[in-house]
Amino acid sequence: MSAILKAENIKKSYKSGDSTQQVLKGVNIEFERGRLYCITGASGSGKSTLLYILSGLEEADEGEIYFNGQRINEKYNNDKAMSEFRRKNFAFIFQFFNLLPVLTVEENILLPLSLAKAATDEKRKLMNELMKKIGIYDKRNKAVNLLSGGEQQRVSIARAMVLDCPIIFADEPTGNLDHQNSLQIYSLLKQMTRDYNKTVISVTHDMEMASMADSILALKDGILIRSLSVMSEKSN
Amino acid sequence: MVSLKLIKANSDNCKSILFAIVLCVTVFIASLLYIDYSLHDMEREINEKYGKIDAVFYDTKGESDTYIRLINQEEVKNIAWQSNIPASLGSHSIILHILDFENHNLLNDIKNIDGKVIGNLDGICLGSDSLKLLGTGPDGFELTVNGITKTVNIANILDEKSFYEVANTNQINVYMSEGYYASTFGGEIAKNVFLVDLGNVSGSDVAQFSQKFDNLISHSIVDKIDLHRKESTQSFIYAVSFILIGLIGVVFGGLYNFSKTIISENIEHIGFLRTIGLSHQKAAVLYQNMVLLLGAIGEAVGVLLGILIGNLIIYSRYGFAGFILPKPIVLLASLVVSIAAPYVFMSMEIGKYKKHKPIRLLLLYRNQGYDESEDLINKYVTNSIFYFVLFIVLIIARNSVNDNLTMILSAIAVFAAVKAVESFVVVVLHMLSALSYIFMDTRPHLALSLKNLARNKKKTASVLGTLVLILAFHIGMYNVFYTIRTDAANKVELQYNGHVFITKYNQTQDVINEKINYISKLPIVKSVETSHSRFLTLEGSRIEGYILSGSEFEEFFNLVDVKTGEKARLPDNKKGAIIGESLAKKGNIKVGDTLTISDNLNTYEITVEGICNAYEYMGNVVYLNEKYYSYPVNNITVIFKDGVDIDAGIETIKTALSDGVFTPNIKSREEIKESYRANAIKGTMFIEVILVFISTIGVFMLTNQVIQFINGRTREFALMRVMGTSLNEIMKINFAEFIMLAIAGIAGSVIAGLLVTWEFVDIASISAGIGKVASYHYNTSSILMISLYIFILYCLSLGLILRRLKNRTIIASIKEE
Repeated sequence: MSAILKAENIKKSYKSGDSTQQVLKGVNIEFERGRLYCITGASGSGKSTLLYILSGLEEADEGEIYFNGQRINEKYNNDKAMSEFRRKNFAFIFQFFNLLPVLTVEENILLPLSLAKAATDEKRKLMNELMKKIGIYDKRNKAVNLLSGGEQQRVSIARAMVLDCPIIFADEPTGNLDHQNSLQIYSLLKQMTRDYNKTVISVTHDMEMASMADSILALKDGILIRSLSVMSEKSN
Repeated sequence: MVSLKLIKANSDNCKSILFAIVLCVTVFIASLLYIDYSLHDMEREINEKYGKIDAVFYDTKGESDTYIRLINQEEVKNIAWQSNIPASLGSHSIILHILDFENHNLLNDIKNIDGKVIGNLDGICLGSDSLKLLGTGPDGFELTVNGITKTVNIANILDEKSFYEVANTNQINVYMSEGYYASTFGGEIAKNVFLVDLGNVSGSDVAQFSQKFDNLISHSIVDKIDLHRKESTQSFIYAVSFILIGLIGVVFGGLYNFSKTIISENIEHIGFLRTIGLSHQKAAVLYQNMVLLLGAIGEAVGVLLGILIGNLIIYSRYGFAGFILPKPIVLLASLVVSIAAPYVFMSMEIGKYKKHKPIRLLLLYRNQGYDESEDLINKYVTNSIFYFVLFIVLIIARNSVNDNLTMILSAIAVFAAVKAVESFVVVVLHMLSALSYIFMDTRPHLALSLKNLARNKKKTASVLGTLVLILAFHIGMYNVFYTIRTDAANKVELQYNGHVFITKYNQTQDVINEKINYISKLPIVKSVETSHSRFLTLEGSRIEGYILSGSEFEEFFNLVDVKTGEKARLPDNKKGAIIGESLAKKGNIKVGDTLTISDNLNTYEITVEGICNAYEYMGNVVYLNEKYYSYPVNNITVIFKDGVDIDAGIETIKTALSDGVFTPNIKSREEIKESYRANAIKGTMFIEVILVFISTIGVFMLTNQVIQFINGRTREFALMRVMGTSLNEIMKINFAEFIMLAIAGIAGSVIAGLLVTWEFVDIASISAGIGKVASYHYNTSSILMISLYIFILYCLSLGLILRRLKNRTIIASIKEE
């Protein structure tokens, strides 16, 4: 199967005063469609930076990102073009949910579609289906700040899923949740990759959660030290 | 050191506080520098114009011993003479002033327009205005005096300020030395004007002295200077008061907001410091020191800028006058704005958390963001209704209370009006947000803007509150000037029935009587009112006295008795008098009261038999019956017969009264109206310019609140960026949102401005001693201009704020917590 997203020799460093810290030291990686990937590593290993570079939120110093075989840095080289590309292809889930407090659950889920002027009846049907599936349908008209952390994260998952985007990036999606809720969220993410053929690329430092992924990518000091398929590992 | 770090950590808010302090201190210092210099200039001008003259006497009867009699008076410290005679220069009628320039020692040195002292010259001297009236001509002029014509040359142009002129400015005045006159025309010169220095004397001393020369027309220069000084000073006091009110309202409101924001954003920090063992007092000191430091920097910069700008304004108005520095008391007062106010506000704000446990402070931080867990719309609906009802009740109530209470009720009504409008606009925006459901699919950005405004009610209300306060204040203030001017003019027009008003008729009583007789017989004249007006004293306060007959009062005045509501009548008895409403209110005088009034020479006991709605001299007026007071006529009012061309009639009267030497002040009804309009509040141009400064500071405060509003939502914008909304789209959403807020706010402010106009006008007119105005007037052009100015300034600031969003990376914003 060909890779939907591919990173080649990604390097990134940050300047802090007089010193420069190299966060990523040449990462090569490929992602396939319909799979759940977890990028793990200790604090400062560069996992979040890699996620932001892969999703086009941040630029790499060196290296290339390919989406369906096309170099995205070259093709979408201005803010407007990159924004549109992101809107069509990438969805995001964050540790702190990042829901708009002025909107209800339903409005939050539909927001990306509304911004793209693509909130069709078909999408509303999909949204209802998603809300039922993840257990927030009865709270659809509530303000999001009245929901619990786990419920808010479900809303962000639904918001990511309702889009046609083939890839969902999740930055520590359970970092703000208790163990029980964390397990439920990862189960949901995995289910979504199966049901809707999405690629989910998640960052976590929790190995128990990572073990639920199809593939685990371990970073250490800016280098990808291990990439394994959990299923093959388990079968081995 | 920690305070410095706090400044760095709160750089946005601290920059705003610093900027506000600098602006305020600058305006404060520059204004007071200008006012101080203007007062100083007024004294200088008085000194230049009048020199040491205390009284001027005119001898119209040619009594040769008058000069000697005056010289021999012990009270006279010094005396100078002139001879003013009618003459003609070419085809122009002129007044020829003959004097000894070198010995005319009561005036300051007589100077030419280059400021150089001139002595006796062989030729004539003119003022530049007179030269304009004369027009340019050949070097030599044909001067005719007493039928003898000689050719004379212009020897010098006089600085009119350095010369006390008797005649009107529209008359050609020609000056020559006594020696030049003698050598040109020969013969004796009749000394007919005497300028007298009585030393350090009061108005009553001058009056007493003048009584000894009842054959002469006398002018008390001391009285004239006193009045000029009082009127000018009063205007400046109003100017300073208005500036201070404006500054206090806008700046203190802004400083309070900044302090509140800093503390609210630093609750976690304070909580942490408390957790590790710092007492509340010690934590408070860190923030107090922070504002003290900002205040000290702001004071230093503001004082420097204030001195520079103040000197620049003085230079543009008066020319170079040396480098002026503020008085120490002004510098001390500026510390209230720069140091005391920020310190007090910061202490008040941090003091609110004194009783909170450290852990509670940490928890408070968690709730700082979006905290509208409940729908607040009911609160704003209730508030708008409550404040509006309160406003109406106060408006009704103040009509039945005294002036002091009226001012207090008016001040509360201003607050109620602003709050009612602020809450009402929030409700309107909430209702408009219903449109977001329609727009969400078609115009999502607009829908989001509408939702943001409706759901962030506290922040929206806060921005609206500032906008409404600033704009309503300005609209109210501009309407104050406009209303008082218009009202004064209307009242005066309504008060008098005459067509021609003649004052300052500096002639002997015989001549005046002769002229009155002549005018009365003119076929165009229906009736002539002859009265005397003069300043009187009532318990140390200056009031205007009108002395005329009862029938004249009835025919020439349209005054209404405030008690009966009928036309006021002047009593026909010795003690009976009627007084103005404003005087009655100020002195708590009632019908039947006995008052003792004085004209500096005599005292009279009068009984108040009526109170009327007079406007003359701001209502501080008493009308007395001429039967019992022996004052000469100095006011003449003429009513023409029906169908007479008023302009032509006025010209006829002017011709009848002009005798070449003393031309009285002759004004039409329209001119009287215009002069009252101009004089109602003097010096308002300066206040109006200062108001523009205050509005600029106000908009700055406002945009700072907008910055807070936007800063609190950076994660929200970052999220939208992540979702594929471009930076331009984000900026468009913000711009649309804050423009909608501004438009709604400005519309509300105009309503609030119109409502508070009533209160502002009442407060201003009562405190100025004018009494309540008859009707309120709105200056549409000023309302539009100030609204537009604030809107443009706001849009420019908004553009600059939004540009800052560009510098934020999505990652940094999305991770903010």
